[in-house]
Amino acid sequence: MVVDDRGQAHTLEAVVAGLLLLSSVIFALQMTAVTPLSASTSSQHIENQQRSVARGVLAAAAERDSLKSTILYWNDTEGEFHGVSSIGYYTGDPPDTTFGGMLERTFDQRGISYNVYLVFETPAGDQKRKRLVYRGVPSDNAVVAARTVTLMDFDPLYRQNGRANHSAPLNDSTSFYISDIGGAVYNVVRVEVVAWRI
Amino acid sequence: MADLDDRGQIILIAAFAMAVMFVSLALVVNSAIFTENLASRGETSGSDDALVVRHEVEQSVGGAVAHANTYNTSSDATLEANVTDSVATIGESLANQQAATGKVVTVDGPTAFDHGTRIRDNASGGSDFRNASGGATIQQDWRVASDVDRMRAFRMNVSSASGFQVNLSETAGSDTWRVEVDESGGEFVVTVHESGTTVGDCTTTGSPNYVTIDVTRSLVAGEPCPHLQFARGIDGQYDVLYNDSDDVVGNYTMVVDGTPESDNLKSSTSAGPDPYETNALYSATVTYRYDGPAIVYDTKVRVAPGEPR
Repeated sequence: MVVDDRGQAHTLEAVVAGLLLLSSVIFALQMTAVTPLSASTSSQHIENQQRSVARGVLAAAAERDSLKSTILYWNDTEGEFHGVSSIGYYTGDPPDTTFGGMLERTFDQRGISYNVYLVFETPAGDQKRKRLVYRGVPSDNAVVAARTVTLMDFDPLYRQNGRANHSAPLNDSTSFYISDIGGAVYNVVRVEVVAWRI
Repeated sequence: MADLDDRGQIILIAAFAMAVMFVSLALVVNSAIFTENLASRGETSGSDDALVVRHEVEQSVGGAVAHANTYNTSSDATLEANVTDSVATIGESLANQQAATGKVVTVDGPTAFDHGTRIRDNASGGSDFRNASGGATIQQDWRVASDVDRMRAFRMNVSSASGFQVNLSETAGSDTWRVEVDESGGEFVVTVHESGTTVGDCTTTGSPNYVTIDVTRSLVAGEPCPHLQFARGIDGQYDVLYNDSDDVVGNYTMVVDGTPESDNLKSSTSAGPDPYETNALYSATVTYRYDGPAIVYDTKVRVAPGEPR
């Protein structure tokens, strides 16, 4: 009889041992650390990638002189950028310049949102920040890339069709949003692109 | 009783083994995290940023040089003073901008200038490319400059052409380099010849009203033209000549480090169809220093906007 009792206990023990083994295997499989390269929307790798892409766009636009033409894409009569809503900055499509087109092709088609800011100096010596493209508050995983462009006194404003209007140099502008900081240099503008995944 | 004692020993050993295993597992997982952290850091020392800022300095000072060459040409001293003034403003603004991101950028100078001559024909609406009526008679084949060491920012804006040529020929040797501009069926064709051999041509697409040809930067209508490699095969100094310059309408500008043919050029700015020469800076050298969190970069930057690469 004693032996029979033992058999039952052994069977139960075996089942419990099996469960224990199985759960420890499952536990071991779950035991992977969340590392910087683990797949997720906040992966460091994606941030690096986006920063490089933003830098690349800025470098290509600077090489084609298009950062300047975008900063100068200004309607002097209306006192606002060409084709912008009454809010004063672009919220939907970027400006219709080469740089704007580059931003659209690079980011918009890949589910990445972006803001573009222009940072420049006022004659009093303060830094002022103006929105050029604004699509809301960036997420925690946003990246930033920037490039500096120097404007000269006789740089022309650009027409809506993207051509330079040589009869309207910066010096003669009445409503341009950046002020002359003296000398032949008009101002030094930092173009900041903030990009994040949506 | 003896059995129970044995068991106690086994449990103790098993506990010890498990402790060792957990510690080593923790080590392995930690080192994996650290490795992946390193792998995802990208470029750590910040040297790419130092080079980006260097490029910004180069473009900014290039703009200042181009500005002075256009608007402050009365004398070499005026040119130099204007660029020096601009570099000071650029340096200060750039330093303020970069300080906001934790870097100290210093731009000083220029420490050296190379002087040259700017030759330009900016007649409103365009004109043919013949020489000015000065000491020489007006001709369609004429010499623009001789003993040229270097040349930059040679841009043409052409609205019609048939067989107009720019010739570069070695002063000492016999090699030549030639660009020919033609128009056929509304399209512009830019053909390049080296010492009599045709290298290739670049054609504009569509039927544009005009074409911009950046000869020194190898661009036709803003697009790279692989055949247009400025002065390839030319060694040492060269002469610049125009041929069939009555068969073209447009404007042009260039900066040469050489001897302009003053007989063929007006000596001051003119709005008419005559080409003219003005004092110009060929290049300026500024000192540039970048102090980043992990890198210090100190160098001289020579700026000559539009120079062939």
